[in-house]
Amino acid sequence: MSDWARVSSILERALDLPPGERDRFFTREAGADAALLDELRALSRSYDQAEASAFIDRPLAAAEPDLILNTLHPGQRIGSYEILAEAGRGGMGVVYRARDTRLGRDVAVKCVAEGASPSQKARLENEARMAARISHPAIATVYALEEEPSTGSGQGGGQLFLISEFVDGETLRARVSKGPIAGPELARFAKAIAHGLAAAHREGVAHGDLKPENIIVRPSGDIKILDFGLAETRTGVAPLAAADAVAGTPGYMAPEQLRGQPADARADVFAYGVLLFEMATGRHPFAGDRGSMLEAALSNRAAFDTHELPAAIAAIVARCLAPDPSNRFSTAAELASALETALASSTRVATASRAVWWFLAHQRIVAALVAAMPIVAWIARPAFSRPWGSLVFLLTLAGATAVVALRLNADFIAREHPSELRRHLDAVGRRMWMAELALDACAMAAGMALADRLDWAAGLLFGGGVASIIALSVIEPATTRAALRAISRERPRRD
Amino acid sequence: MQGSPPMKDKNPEIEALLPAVYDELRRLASSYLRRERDAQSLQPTALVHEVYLRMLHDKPMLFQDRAHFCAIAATTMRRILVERARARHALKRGGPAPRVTLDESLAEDTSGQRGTTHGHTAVDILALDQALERLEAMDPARARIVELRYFGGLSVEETARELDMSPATVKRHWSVARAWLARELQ
Repeated sequence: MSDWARVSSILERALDLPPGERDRFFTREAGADAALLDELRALSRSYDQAEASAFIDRPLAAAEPDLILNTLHPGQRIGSYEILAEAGRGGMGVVYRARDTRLGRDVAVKCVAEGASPSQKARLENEARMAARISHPAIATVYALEEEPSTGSGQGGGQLFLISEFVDGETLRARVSKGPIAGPELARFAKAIAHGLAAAHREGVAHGDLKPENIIVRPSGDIKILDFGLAETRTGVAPLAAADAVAGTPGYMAPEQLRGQPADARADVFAYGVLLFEMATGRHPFAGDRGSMLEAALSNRAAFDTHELPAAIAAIVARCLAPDPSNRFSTAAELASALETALASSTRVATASRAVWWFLAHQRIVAALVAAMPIVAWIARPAFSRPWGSLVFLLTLAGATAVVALRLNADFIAREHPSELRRHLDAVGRRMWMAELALDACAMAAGMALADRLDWAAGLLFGGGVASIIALSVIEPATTRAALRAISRERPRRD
Repeated sequence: MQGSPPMKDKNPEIEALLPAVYDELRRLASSYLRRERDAQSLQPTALVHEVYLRMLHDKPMLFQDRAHFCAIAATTMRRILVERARARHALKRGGPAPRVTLDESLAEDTSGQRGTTHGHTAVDILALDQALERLEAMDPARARIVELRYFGGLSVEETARELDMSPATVKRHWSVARAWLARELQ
């Protein structure tokens, strides 16, 4: 205490001195007290820095006026709602968590600043009316719109409160900033948002301001779309865009919105495209600063790279982001069903390619096994009595050549022309199997003939023949059926 | 600190007055905002003075004098502002951030100012509040000057009048307190 009294008194006197003389003054005052001298010098440096940066020179409320926009305090009551805590605030108003004392549940109370312009009030009323039309699990339910008489001298009318479902969780913005969303989670989020939006569009409501800040991911993983403040009906309520300087959020606004032209559900589809791209890559599709972002969105070219996207959604994103609204999905319902199809067939393609992989593996393993037979026969040739060695070798060579050629052919067709595979197997499959069967019989006979003379060759030929017959009769029909089924399912989607 | 009120001493008198002051500040803040939406700043000084005049007019018994009121008003402002800052802070940290909607980017577009204002570096309000509490324990007089000026919005001259000091003294006390706080926040 007395230390500080001394420090502060020396410092106050020093601050009147020109900076060059301060240090000499400190040295004289501090005397032998090195700690005191250090403290004085440090504070003197802080003083200069604070001067230079105008540290706390501006009163806080003036520096950050949004801090005093609204001052409902915990414990205050709005009708039967008791304010618990502030949940968040932004330029347009504040959201409180409150307790509905009558129904005993927590609600969100949103209000615009009391001094808000009529257009901001209109926006909140609009939000209430629009969101109240929609009932969908992915959309926060509106409970009520309350008006309280003004606490003041009556200027500006009462204050509006929008009472809605309390949604806890993090914003999609926070989620995306942690990195791209992948796999089943991406599919689940994408579908939930699309279906929620579709529910709105079915009621004739276009959201108008879809962006990651307006979507909440609940701890359970469920999605809620919020903020219908800029929503419009297709039946054409006076667009709020005219009243507000900026209606919407650049970066999520469709080109027609940016140009100030009337926007409809297809503007939501555009914003959804931006959203989906951002979820999948962690990046905004129109990279760069806001200016170039606008330019990219406005220009009639694809400024984004769909190669980064998972194949299943690349085409959907591209169609959502079409600069011309008539090239987009016309509603979110259409978008949602396209998304369902794409995501479903993408999981099917995954299983399809697995079935085809096994089919290919089977062809190659059998080809390798069969190719080994004439080699064994050649080495084992001297063990046969005179003409038989060469005869067995030539027979296995002929059979193996035919089988390997046909197997590799089937492999090639399955890879390059999967749609032709069925026809190909119908045409040559039986002959291939007959040739292989004959070869196996020959190999087994040769193996038996060699028994007691050259046991390793006998074992290889006989065993190879048996293995090949089992593959032919048991394994091959199954893998072939699976591959053909997978290919035929995948085919119609390829257009 | 978290959760406890920003004031060290829980003055029952101030506690009793808080709701009334809150209401006044809210009403006035919004009427100022309405009037000065296009002007660069809200004027907290005027705000506090108007609260003072109105409350003196409505409830003269409640205040001993002008200085008493100013002390209450500044403390109240501080408490309100720190609470809001904490709410905003919680939101930015992405913690449990429940909300119906926030139009952050809209706010940015229309006012162009958030976080950093007029070239000033944004101050960590919560840290400042805690540092000021430490200063209060050590040096209540200088801490009061900071509270009146930074949270209450009074100018040097107004602070001097409220505290019955010379403006030069207020300025010197302020400079030292500010240097100390600046170092605490580094």
